[in-house]
Amino acid sequence: MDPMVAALSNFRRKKYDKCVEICTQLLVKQPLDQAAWYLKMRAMTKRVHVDDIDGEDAMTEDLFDENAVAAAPRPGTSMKTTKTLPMRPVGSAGRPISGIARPASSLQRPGSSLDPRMKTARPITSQSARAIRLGTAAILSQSDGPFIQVSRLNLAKYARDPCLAKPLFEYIFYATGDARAALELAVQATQANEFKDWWWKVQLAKCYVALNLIRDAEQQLRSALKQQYHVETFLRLIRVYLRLDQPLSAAEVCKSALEIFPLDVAIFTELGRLGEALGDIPSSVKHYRNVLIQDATNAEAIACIGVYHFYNYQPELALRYYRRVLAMGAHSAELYNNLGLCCLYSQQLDLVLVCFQRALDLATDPLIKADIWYNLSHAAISSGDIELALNCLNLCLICDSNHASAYNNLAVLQHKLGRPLLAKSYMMTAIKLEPDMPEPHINLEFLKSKI
Amino acid sequence: MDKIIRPVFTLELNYKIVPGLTTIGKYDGTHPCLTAATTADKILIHSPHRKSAIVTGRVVWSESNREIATLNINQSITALAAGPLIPQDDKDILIVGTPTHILAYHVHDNRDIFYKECPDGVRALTVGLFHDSKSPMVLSGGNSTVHGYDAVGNELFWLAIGDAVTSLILHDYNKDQTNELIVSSEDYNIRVYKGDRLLAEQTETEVVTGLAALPDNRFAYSVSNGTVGVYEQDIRLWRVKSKNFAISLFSYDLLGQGHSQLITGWSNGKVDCRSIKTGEVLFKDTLGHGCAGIVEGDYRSIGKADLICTSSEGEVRGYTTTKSLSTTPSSGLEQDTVRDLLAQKQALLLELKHYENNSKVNEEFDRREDNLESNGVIPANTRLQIAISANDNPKTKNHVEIFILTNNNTVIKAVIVFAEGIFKGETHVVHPQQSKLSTELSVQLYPPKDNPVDIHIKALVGYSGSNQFHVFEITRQLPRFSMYALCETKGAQCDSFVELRISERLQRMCMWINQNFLLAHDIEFETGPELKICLKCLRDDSYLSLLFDISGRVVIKTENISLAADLVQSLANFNNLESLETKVNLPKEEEKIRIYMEKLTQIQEARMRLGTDVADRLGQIRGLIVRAEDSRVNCLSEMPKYYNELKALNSELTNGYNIRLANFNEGQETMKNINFILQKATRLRAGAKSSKMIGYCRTAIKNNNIDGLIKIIRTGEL
Repeated sequence: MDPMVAALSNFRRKKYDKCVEICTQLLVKQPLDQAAWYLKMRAMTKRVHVDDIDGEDAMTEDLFDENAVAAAPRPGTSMKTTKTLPMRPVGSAGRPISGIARPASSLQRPGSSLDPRMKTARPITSQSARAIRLGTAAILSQSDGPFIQVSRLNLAKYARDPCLAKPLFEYIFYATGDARAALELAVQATQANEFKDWWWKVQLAKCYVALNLIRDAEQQLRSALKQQYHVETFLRLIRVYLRLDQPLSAAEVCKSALEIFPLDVAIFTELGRLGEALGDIPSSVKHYRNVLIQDATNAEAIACIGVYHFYNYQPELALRYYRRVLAMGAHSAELYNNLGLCCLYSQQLDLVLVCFQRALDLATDPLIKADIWYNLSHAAISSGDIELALNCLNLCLICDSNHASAYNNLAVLQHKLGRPLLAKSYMMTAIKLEPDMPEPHINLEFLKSKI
Repeated sequence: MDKIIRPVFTLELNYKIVPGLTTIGKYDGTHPCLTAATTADKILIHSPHRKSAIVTGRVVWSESNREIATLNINQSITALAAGPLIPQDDKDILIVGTPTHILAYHVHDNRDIFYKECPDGVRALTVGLFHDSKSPMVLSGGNSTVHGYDAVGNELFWLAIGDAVTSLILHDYNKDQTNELIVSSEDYNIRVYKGDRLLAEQTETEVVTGLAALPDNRFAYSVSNGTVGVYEQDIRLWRVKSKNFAISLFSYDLLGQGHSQLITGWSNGKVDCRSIKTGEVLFKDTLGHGCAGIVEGDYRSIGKADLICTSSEGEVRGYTTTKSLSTTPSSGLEQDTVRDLLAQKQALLLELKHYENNSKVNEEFDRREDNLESNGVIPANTRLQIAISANDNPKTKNHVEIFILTNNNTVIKAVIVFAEGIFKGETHVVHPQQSKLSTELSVQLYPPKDNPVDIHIKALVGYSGSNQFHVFEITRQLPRFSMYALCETKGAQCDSFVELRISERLQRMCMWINQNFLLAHDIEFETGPELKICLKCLRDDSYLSLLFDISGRVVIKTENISLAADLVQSLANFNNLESLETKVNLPKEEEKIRIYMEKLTQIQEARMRLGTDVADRLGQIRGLIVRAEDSRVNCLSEMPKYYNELKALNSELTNGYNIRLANFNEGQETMKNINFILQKATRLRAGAKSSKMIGYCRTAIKNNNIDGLIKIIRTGEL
């Protein structure tokens, strides 16, 4: 078979490594074979390509980020102020314990074992960890130096070539992770297209976002939208406003997007997330329900509605939603944990321990494990087994020594068992770990008045 | 008589405020919030009503003061304005101007209304109804242009001003119930526009820094040399000069007179209240530091607006209307009056004594001639003769000469010339040495601009030995084009010309010439097909020739576009022309604009590249700081390495910044030059033609159409 055809076939079958290999051999024979060069570029891009619309982190915690205009915005107009919902416990990761893990929220977890006070010194920086990882991954895969020396390319020449410019851009942006070079190419390509190609404008915006030039990205996206309505452009614009900490602007973009793409699932999802972030749960649930009408298998929507019912004192309804997720084939520690909690509160006690058992079996992350043990302690308390509860809480603290709620609960239990001094010291630890948590303060006051 | 008006409230913001950058807005639709730019490039919003509101959630208000919230802008703030921009929404929108961008921000909802790049910079902002737009508009004055934007950020309006805009107000100037735009710029001018059309133009002696609308179609202005004045249409009611300069002008009825007074905040912290009609000071107070701004708002929630003065150190004082209290005892008033009258009497007596002395001397004139000098008395028939001419002497620097001569043996001790905008300051004194005193004196003037100037001359006349001198006061007017002299040589023929058509008799043209030029003798038109005058500009020795055809064709030959524009405007005014079309051929200016436009394109390209450079380095810095701080915990020995890297990166960044700054300044300069030429080119036409041309220029600039722009300059059409 002609090696070119073989390479193409491999590419189509998503066997990118094989494709790259064939192309490399072709290029050794004929270094100027544009078709092979093009295919290799595409294959290498595809190999590491991720859907970066969802992957971009909202970056609300960036220490140096002063893109947000208001330093102290009014409640309900910013992502910063409404982090904690009054009724929902929040894990140290900053997401509701039994909520759904989103691509973005996973990055917000402190990766290192630094204690919580050090969190401020360890912000997430603009060039996301993923981008850096992608870059190194691409370089590692090449034994004899990088495939394309971007700095040696005559970008102006390639920018004028409509066939090569786009794949080359994607290669630079995704495979090498060099947003600056990608930006240069995009700038020249937009000029070559006389500012008439919306695709390039979106790419420009992508580069600007990677370089943390948020305002420039906004301009490019808006100008792209004037030429062509596209869901991706809308989604990126929403992200831009989230980076600027202007959720209401983002909501406005959602609304205008819905006028053009009515019933679009992605935009409804964005609205749902926005509502959740702003603490407007009813509207969030409304949007998630809209998502489910269009796409009955959207796990995020199901799970979020489930959380809503759970905290709305309707654990039976929540149980139905979680069982739906389970029926769809999801199989994770969080899900079993949530199922266990729902069972507990809807009095289906025979399933509680089984669910938690499964959850513990599946949990690998110590933080998740700690949360599960913490939840198990509730199951023990509700069955009146204080000793078991104490054990659960201790196990929780073994997994995560910074779990303030666990310390607080331990203190309460110790107080019940008649050990006020021990209770007091646990209380103090809890306050030290999370000074903003109201419970240990109240408990401590109570304890002091007793003694 | 000083009335006692005490502040009704005072408070400290504990932030340093940039003078001039304060405004007030009702961001939630009801409560006014004082808004100011701090010296740390943040915007401070002070909301006194916030005190009573229940603090919810974890809103982080300023720790020291719960009433203050700050906004990050990340660029230096150059202008601030607030006003209702969105139709059918009573909430005010905050408009922030920076050297490169304009941001309209909805404070209440924490969202952008629009954010636009303004390559021309933003120097002044105002919000209101203007032109033919039904909804409010943001007007932003830049380094050489004024842009108008609607509520979504579409550009509705464009105007070339020719120099940096310092202040903008929307005001009903000519009592037609619609707003006109009043623009002050760094070329000392105040211009009034109705839409694209220039209604009036006033020239001041220095850079006009501020404007304020007053009731009854008047407006106040302040000049960087410390002058404050009030105009009613094109008549200046009064002006005063101070050694400090005015930061903020405002109209408010502080004294409860039923009509407003002009409140002025000065750079030394003085706040005074003057009568609008006369400029008389009615009340003054002093803030601890320089005044930063004066605004008006219902700050105590009592239903009546207070006057709020802010100082640059963050001190805020509120005043309210205080009815004139007759607390001053009547006896004090009487005493004052008596004292005034006594002083007047003293002065009159002194004057009378002089007169008596003088007449006595005149009677004894024949007998005691030698005694004249010692008495300081001059003959009654002494007269001064004054000649003003454009001096075209190749030996000395060219100037306008005022020649003063007495008609007898008295000498001129000194001459004081008062005029605006000719000298630094407003007076010029010529006093020869004692030994060189003579009966004649010449004063040299160098008017920098082509403007009609009133000169008030005070000549001190007496004898060289006398102690007292007689003062002669004379007022003369310098015509608009005084720095031009007739020259016989035809001069090198230049191919730059402006051609227009005015159907008027040539006699009338002669009248115009005689009125507007300072020529040795009046030009008369006898017969012939045309009238041709060759002139030499005394400033730069360039030639100007005017040719008036009997058929009405007028050709102005000069290379100087602003001179040509001034001549055209003057002609149009003289003949009351509604609209005037011209053919223009100025190859030098065309060449210039071509060069500038090309340069601008290059600069913009370079700017983009430099911008990404900085962003890239910033990204690296973020990474390094995190790593350095990590190593502080994990591995101390690594820390210096990261911080050294940071240091190197930082100095690189500083260098990059300097390059960017140079690039930016060059860009601004180029932009300014282009707009200068365009503004002059629009002035080469008059009336409707001129405003039509502005529209064409805007389209051509937007599309970067150099050839189109040159065609517009030539013909006024695209």
